[in-house]
Amino acid sequence: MQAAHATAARVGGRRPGLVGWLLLCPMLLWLAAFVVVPTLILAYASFTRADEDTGFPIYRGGLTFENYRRIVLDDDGHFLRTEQEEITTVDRDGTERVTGTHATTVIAAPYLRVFGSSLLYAGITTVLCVFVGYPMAWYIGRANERTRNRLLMLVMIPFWTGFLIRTYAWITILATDGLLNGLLQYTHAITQPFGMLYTPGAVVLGLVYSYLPFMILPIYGSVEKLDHTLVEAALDLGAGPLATFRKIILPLTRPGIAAGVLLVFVPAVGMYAISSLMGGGRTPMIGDVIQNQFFTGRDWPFGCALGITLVAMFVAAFAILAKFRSSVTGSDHAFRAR
Amino acid sequence: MNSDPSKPMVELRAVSKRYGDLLAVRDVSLTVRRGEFLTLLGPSGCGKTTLLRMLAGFETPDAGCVLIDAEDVTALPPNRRDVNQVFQSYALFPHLTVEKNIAFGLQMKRLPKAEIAAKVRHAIDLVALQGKEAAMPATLSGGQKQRVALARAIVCEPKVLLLDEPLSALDAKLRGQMQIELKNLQRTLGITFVFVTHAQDEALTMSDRIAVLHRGAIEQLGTADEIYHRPKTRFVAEFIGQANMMTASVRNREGADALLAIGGEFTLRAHVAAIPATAQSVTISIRAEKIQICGDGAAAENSFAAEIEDVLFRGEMLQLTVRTPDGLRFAVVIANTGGARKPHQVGNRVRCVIHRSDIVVVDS
Repeated sequence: MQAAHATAARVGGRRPGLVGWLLLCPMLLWLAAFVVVPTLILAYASFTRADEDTGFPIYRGGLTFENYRRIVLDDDGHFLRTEQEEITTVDRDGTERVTGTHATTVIAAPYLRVFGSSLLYAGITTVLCVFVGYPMAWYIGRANERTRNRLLMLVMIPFWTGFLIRTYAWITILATDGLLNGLLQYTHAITQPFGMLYTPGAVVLGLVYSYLPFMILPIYGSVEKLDHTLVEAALDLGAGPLATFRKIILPLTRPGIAAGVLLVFVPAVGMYAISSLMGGGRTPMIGDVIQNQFFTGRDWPFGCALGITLVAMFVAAFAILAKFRSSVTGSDHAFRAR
Repeated sequence: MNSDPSKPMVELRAVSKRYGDLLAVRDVSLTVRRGEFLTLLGPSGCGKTTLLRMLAGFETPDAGCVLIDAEDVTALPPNRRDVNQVFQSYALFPHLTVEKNIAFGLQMKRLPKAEIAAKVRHAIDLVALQGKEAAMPATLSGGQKQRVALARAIVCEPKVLLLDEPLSALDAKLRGQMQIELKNLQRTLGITFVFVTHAQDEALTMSDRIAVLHRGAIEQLGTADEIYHRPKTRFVAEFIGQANMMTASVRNREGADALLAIGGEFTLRAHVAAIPATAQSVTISIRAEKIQICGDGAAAENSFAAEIEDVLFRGEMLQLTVRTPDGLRFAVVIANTGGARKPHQVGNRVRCVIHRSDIVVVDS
């Protein structure tokens, strides 16, 4: 019982003492100056109108919900819209014939749809990062120390160059007259170059490439901490490799996966540049749209409103996640035991 | 179980295992009988854990084969062997409750839920962990974790239970208590136990037979009594208990007896039936507690005068160092019955007696 209390005390939020507060001071000041205050300015600006010439917010021009209305509703004030789609069938002789229409209800507001596609891109990216990153993280975490350090180095080397430079590198690889098409043609694998760049696939590739290390490192952290005798114990108790993974390894490395998912998904939603550079701007992500408002679009208040909406979405998501977590004790206990 | 009671439960046939340059296990053959409590005893690095891991299936021997219940399991992975292990670190699953830890093996066997529940309850009763079913391992004491690990392994009713130094993390008092409980449990369940330890007291207390390992090979296999009183090698004699090891030259051989000269003039009469007639020089072992101290009595056989050079108070025992006039030193352990009288003090002259059958020739 005493042990249980001790554990609870250690885990439960202990209030920092005077020294604790002093130590926290720099971080709190930093957060206040560079996170809280700017967010408040952003929030305020999102309720203003834009100066028509400069695009700057008119701070004293009264407040309006117009910017948020533009995000949620389309120009005609609709939230949803019904799209008629023609169903065509191809006859035996090859002529196309319209045989009916198909109605689908879609979200009307274009900006909301960009939010949607950004979430989708980020979601696909996150899932791919988990599936690609987990095996790598596992291998690194289980390797001997020498190999492990070398592999970790390899994971981190891309950070030595700028992210834009790396994205441009991908463009030279994927372009129609790029390296990959050249290689495939040279080896006669293909006769015609095919368009890889400026596709949704290229965007996802760029995103996965950029965010993979952020998935690998936290998972590696929990794999490395995982006591291997637990794996042996599971095997010893008759669990096959798959059951061992599902019942023991996965729950115990879940904190790493959760951290990786957050580190990948959150920034990936707001990512800019990759979608315009590698997707050719055909499938804009919300990050690009926000960036546009401040530069070519010249509508800062609307950009602020988009930004605040994005932040609000994350806050909501975190709140739901936190609630979900407190009801599921499993993965947390794994952490406490260490 | 298709068990044939006449066949041994475990059989190692000439197994060897090499790690790089290190030959961890060299050509070990060993059989464990049904329902036997067999201990692999030896210092760290002697190969005992490697042997256990071969039985569990975590290591594959480079040569030789492993049989469990007359079935060759050499190539079988651990999850398909009918053995369970109690790990040194307990290896309890930190994200599962006590109950779920114990149920894990049964769930893997896909037993019906009601049966699992009944067996888990029985196992919890057996190791006296009632009331801790829903506790997480991190909240348990060392002794309780130990019991969970034990329950988790025995609930699967394995043919062989492997125990890898399971008591080493417990404090001395709890260790003594668990030794008795383990032995009782093994008797009640009738499961074959293979127990690995470097602690001789554990081995001597619990085992039906002990295999003393040294440098990857079995030095001696026998009951606690045999290992203790009749060590076959110098290593066994030195590793177990406290022994006076001496080199002696054989003189005046008379049938089974001979006069052994140690150093110069000091002689002891001993049984030497086991040593070849041609042996000139032998190594003998005399257990420290076999040397009796009898104040200043008459000159019996193998008795000699000595002076107490050192006294160590060890609770129920006194550990003495005595020195003969020739300069030979003997370690002597006697029951501490003195109390306030303190009969044995440094500088006292005493008479020591060694019975001739207590002199064991370990090397010739």
